[in-house]
Amino acid sequence: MTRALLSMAAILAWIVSANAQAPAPITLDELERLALASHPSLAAASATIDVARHAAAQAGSWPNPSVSYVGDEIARGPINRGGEHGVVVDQRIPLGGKLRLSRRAFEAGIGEAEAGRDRARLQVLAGVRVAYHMVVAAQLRLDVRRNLATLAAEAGRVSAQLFNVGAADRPDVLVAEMDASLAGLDVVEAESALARAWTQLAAAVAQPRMPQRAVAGAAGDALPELPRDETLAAALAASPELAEARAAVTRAERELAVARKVTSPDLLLKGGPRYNRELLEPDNRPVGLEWAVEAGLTIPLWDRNHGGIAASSSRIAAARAAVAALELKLIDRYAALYDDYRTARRRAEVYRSDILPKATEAYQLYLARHRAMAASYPQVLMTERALFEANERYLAALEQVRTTAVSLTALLAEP
Amino acid sequence: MPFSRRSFLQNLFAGAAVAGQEWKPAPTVAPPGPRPVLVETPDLPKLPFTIDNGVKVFRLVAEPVKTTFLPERPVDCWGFNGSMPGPAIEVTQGDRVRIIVENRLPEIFSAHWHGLEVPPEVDGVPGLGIDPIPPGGSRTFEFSLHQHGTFFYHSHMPMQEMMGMIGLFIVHPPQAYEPRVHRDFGLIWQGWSILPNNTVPNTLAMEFNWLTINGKAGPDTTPMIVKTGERVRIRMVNLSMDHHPIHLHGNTFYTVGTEAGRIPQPWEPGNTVIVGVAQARDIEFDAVYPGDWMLHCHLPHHMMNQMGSSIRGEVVPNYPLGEHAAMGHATHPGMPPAAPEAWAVKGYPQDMWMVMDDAMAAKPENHGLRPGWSAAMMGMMTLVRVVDPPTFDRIQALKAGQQKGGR
Repeated sequence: MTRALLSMAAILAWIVSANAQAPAPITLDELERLALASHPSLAAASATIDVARHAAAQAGSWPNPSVSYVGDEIARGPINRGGEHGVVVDQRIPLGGKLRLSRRAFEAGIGEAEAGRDRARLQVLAGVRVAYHMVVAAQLRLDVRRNLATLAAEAGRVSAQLFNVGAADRPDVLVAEMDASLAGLDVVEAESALARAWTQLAAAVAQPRMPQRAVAGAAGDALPELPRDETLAAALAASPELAEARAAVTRAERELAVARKVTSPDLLLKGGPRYNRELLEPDNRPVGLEWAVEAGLTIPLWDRNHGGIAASSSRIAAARAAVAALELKLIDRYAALYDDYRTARRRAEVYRSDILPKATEAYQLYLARHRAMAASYPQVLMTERALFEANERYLAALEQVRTTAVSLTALLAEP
Repeated sequence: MPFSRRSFLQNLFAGAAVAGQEWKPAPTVAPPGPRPVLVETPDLPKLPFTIDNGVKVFRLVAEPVKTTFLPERPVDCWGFNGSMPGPAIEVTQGDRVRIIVENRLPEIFSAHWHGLEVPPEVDGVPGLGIDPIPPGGSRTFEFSLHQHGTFFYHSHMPMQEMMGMIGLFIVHPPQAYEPRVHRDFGLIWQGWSILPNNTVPNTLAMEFNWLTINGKAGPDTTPMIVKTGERVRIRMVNLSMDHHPIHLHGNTFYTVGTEAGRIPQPWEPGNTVIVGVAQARDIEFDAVYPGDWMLHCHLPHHMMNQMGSSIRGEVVPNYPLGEHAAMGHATHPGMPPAAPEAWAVKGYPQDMWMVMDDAMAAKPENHGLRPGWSAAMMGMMTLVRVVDPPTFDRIQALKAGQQKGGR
């Protein structure tokens, strides 16, 4: 295992030395900070919270009064003299706590929006972490491929030398040259994969034009250890999607309370001054300024909002079912992810503890024997190739362990 | 002439001929004279020399060599003076030789004189008695020869040996050995591992798919031509990774020498002799039986060539793959069909019969061989052709014509 770790460390050291003139490798913390500072999904989520907050504030506002001109008994005649003219102010006064309930319903929307923001945050962070691990793996894979290409070229050279002493046949040389060409193509493919992974990482941190640079990360880092049940419980407990769904339930419940109060009586007040031109006062004087006041109540006689209440009740049921369905979906996704994680982790462990040490030892044994003129160089090359190929498969397992671990801890039904 | 097994047999068979049993002609007696006959090295040249104040001066160049084990089967190996194995050095006991060795290889090199009792500073072991010769460098070795027999020179870099860096070093006695021979041949036996689409031997491999005699694999080995009744000596040197049991068909021979020289009589008869790695064995026999006699390593895997490429693409192209493809070779015209239901027999097929193109290995020494002869010749196989004088003369005439026309 120590040898395997040393081997991985050597690969990383190579990367570090090769990029001595380049900027320092960027860390995951830096990448997360960049994403949290500038990702538009988070800005959109924050704006959505503001929308909900303002809507809640608006929901508690009183209805506006109305002011209207009123003319009455407008007729010609010596008495009427054009009638009465005045101003009437109407004001509806909601009763039964409608404003409070409505505000509370909208305040539930704030909680829903905040959960949405948490979901967006988790999506952004998970995206950054997955992209980060893919870039790390792509970097290491490129390094292994370059080593393999160097090795393949060396094997081609050695094959030509063996051909020259009759120990290899012409087809052997052709196959070695073909292998070298294929290894070169594998390097090109790995370079493209790294560039693609970097582009995805740059997009994940909302810095699409961020110049490509090395990412800090080592294959030999400790493997994430995630107990199945505890991790699931924690993921469900912290799930912003579930929180969002539960907030929707709360909002629906509060909307039901609102619906139940929709038809409860409101106080209707109406009144205002008016000038009565009628000459009805002694001395044939006009009545002059007078006041009118009117008060009333709405009566839920015909419309008791049965439909609205029933609809709200159904929305509650739907929201509650959505919570349960979401939880099931999360559990289902968790099961699939955990299977991948466990398999990959086992694979990585076996490579780290068993295969890589053996591959390293086999290579070192042949190398040492070759240096003592007791083993052929092709044997060295073959074991070195086996070591590099094992490293590449190890890297693939590591990549899967780390990306699935991110997905398990940041469990999302819609990643 | 003292009594010997040969003279006994000679007298015995002479008597038999008189009695009318003419199935075995009597051997002829080699012409008298003190000088031994020169060694014939099929497919290999001799290294020329000059005389400098009584010293025989040879110039030996170690260098990469392009050759063929079979026509259209090119091989990039290393040898001397453009030849693999290198040209034979042929001298006489008592000679003083000066061998100027030039290294045109891309790496260090050292020449060793195998079996010769020479001072350590000229023995040619790099590091021990001498520094290696650097690429582009040269070194002069000078020593006197007090031995006689079948020796050889080779690189003392082991893998360079396996790249082909060997040559015969024949030291004749001042007077020919008794009984005297009419023909004296020298053969070097080597094994190679060469991948089907490569031309360079893999000197580290331990599996060998090309087996050669004097740098050629059957059927491209050049037969040794002798006249009926002649006494023949064949000197055989093995510088491969296997010991080779060399078997001669149709004749009984005597092993008369090793890499250390002549074996005192009495010799034991045989028809198979193991020539171990880095050993030499000289055999002699009276070629009294006319015919084309195979001389070959009896290890079964050494009696074949690399099947995959030699059959499918290069030597006998365009033969369709058949039911024997699983065994690595093809069915082709002239191949007798297998028995019905052959595949029901466990182990089928095992034959490696391959009808080659006789013309592929056409050369004067193959004149008059039975059509289809080349199908019998694979790997470490060559022929001792015991022919009548007219055929012998015809072959010599063909060789002379070929030399005149340039092969």
